[in-house]
Amino acid sequence: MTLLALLLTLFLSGFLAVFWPQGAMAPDLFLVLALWYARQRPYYLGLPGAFLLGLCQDLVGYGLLGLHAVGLLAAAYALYAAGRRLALEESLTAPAAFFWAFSAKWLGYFLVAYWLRLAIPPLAPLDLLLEGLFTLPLFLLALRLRAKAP
Amino acid sequence: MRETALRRGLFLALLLLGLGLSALTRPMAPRLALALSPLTAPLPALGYRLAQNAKAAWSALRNRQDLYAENRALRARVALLESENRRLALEVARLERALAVRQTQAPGLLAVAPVIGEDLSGLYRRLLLGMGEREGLRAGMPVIAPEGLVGLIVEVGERQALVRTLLDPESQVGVRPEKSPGRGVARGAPPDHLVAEFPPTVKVAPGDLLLTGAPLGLFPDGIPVGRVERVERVQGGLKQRAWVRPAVDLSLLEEVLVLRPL
Repeated sequence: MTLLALLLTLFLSGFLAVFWPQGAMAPDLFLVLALWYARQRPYYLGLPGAFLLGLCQDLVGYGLLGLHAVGLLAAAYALYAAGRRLALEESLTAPAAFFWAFSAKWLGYFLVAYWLRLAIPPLAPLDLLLEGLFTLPLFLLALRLRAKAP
Repeated sequence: MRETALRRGLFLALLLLGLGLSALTRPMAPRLALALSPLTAPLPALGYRLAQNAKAAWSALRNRQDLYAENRALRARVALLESENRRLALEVARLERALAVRQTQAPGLLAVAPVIGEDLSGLYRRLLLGMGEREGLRAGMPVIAPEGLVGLIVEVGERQALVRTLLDPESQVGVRPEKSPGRGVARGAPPDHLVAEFPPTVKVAPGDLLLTGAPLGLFPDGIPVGRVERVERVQGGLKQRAWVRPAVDLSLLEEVLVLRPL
């Protein structure tokens, strides 16, 4: 199931690149997959899983190895932290947990950028917010799929 | 408590690994990612290609719909232009006829009037014109067509005028042969002939063209009236009678030219 989800994510990431409007932040499918995986696995599988998924995302994006890995690792860790305090299956707490993890992902990115003294691209807060808003429905859908799975 | 510590420891270890990895591989990026891409690239590439094909198909479909709509609009426009072209061609033909008459009859041309009806009784051969007093038409005005004489206006209303054609039994037209001297009078002989009577000294033969003469003073001189079909002597040879087919086919007239009266 996890492998199938990974293959689907890889496929959809290529598919979405064509249909998503140019210049707009696309939903982060890898984040959805990492959180979905972390939600159904214990931390000792979920954290390395998110890390490996981030590496995979780095490879797909032909970018710096470790950037997305750290971002998704931070997001998964934040989700575990949120999961200890919130019931993620509820309609109000799930978005809050998602935005917590989403913020952690970007914090991870900024950490790597700071670590390597990279020039941070000029990102508008609205772009980040839109990416989160586009990704949220997919995250909620993934949670529902998990809830329905036997 | 222990689990939290372990989770934090694992997180920190992976975080350090990520930071170290990024620092170590930074000089090799994106070469390294490119070298390892065969592991990950096929599926996104498949998705990308499928999406491109789907987008191209959608675009082709949408373009086709655009072309269909454009084709329909162009067809409608072509039909409109063809209709306009036909109207203009008719207008040009009408003006050419008017010009031809103006060149031969000028300055006698008064108006170009449409034929809107004709006498259906069979007793008379009269035409109804779509112009009348308002356009300056008066009784006694000659009416012609480019091919020849049509008749004379006998009644005028505000918007209509009645033409007594040269085929009407009450019509009398002074005529002369085109190529020989002499005068005669042509009367209408419905349904489609005129009978012209000449003195026996006038040379008239089948095939001769008869033109208007001016003895009766109603028509300008030299307008074609008709062509002689046969000639017979009457009244013991004191007259010759010529059966004439008019130059103008009245049944085909759509408009006529009205001349000023002499």
